[in-house]
Amino acid sequence: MIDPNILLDALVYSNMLALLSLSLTLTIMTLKVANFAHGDLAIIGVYGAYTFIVIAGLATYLTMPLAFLFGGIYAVLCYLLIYSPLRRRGANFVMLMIASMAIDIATRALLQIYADLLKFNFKVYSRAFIFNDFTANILGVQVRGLVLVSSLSVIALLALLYILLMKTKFGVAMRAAIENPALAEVLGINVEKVYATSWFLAGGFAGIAGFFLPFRIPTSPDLGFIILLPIFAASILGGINSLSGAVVGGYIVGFSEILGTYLLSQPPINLSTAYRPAIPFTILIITLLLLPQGIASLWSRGD
Amino acid sequence: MAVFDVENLKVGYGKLEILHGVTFKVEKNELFVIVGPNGSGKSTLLKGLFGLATIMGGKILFNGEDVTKLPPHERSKKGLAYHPQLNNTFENLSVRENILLAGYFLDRDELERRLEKVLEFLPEIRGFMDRKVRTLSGGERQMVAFAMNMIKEPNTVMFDEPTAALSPKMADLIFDRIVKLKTEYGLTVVLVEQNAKKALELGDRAMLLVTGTVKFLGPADELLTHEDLASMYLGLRD
Repeated sequence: MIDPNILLDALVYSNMLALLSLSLTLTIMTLKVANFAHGDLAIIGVYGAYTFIVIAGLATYLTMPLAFLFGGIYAVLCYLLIYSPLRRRGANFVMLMIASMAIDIATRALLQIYADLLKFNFKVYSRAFIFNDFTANILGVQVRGLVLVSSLSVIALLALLYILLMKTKFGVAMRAAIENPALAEVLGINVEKVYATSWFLAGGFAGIAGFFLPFRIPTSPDLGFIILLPIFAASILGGINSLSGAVVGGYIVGFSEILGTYLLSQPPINLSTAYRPAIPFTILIITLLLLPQGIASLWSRGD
Repeated sequence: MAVFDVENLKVGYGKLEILHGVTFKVEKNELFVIVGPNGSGKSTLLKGLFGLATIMGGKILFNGEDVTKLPPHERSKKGLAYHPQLNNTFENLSVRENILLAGYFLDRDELERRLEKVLEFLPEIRGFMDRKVRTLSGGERQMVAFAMNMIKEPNTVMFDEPTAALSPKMADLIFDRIVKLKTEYGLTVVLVEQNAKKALELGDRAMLLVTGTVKFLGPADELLTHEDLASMYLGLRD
């Protein structure tokens, strides 16, 4: 019997991964870049929120929209100032990927400087900080606020994204610009504006996911790089070009990582947990061997 | 005033020049046919006229206005439509979404009015409005692309081999509608076509392009019956 707390922890971790993998996939679909700075967007979001918690004294959960905003703005700046000019100059996939690595290094350096500024100017913990959570009593069961808030956030954000993409004119234009930017341009759609909006949404989603991090683990500027591999694993598992696949991939990777580590560390196996990062990749390899186009090929040919 | 007044136009991709100084005019409400062997620069010319290829020299006047440096969507706003040979629809969107997307800047009532008009012109589309384009045949996709251009109510439409790889029956249907654009709707049509015989039979005037230069410019039937050019470059013999 699995401890319910382990299941809930897996749910929270998977909620985060689903948002991160979904947003990474959105950036891959627009710019065709493997964005190595994607994890940093989550950390930008959480540092934005944390700043308002420690300086303005806002209640923790009230700063969640700020995490969205900071993540979104940083993503748009990266797109407009770096990726878009490079794309216009004919940069290929590899060049854009290397640029994203440079952005990752620069962003983490900027976050380190920012953490120092916070520490010295405001005398607050700016590395390895955590967020305090509340506990809700639901039908006599004590549930952490993070479980509720992260789950509801994922549901709400996915619903909003679905409505935007499928039910609005701008969403149809977004899907069109992603599928065939040249033709979209011919039709008079401002592809640059559509892509910048996509990047804002992707950064915002990553920012929200980042906001949940300090509830689970101590958060520092380099955490964005550490969480990058499972995000990529989830996106690739989902089929790399499918938003719904990315969400499903996030839950498969998240649950398999947490539950796999837990089960293998229990008697009679008693394995150490050092192999934890290998679990999602083992799942990834097995899935791709069975479904080379990713998990989304089970239900569609792309969204 | 000519719809297109093109002077010494040089077009290419990157640093490679494909068209080496092309001069011609397209008059209002005419069906202007561009023919030539493979690699002669026909498609490149259309891309240049629409702003999708690099202009390396010369000038393009569209309805008297210099559009040489305008981006494609600005040319589109001036009433110019372009029907590419490939990738002319969004495969993962439904037919309805494709057509409505082409009328992105119209308000809802105007869009509905134009959609009805387009469906009168291309009634075949009614049967598959809510299907994803990727599930359609080649001919059906060409009709969707056709409708996407029509919803913009252009004054000039440029077609790049609209009947390539279509069945003879479907090709005839497309040719029929292209002619109707001119005769019933008063539009100006520029048609690049591999089926030179059919295109020259339908066209008013024609241009023969060979390796990026103009070999003939004049009445379409004259090129069709030209003793040397028709057989040498177009494979047309009695």
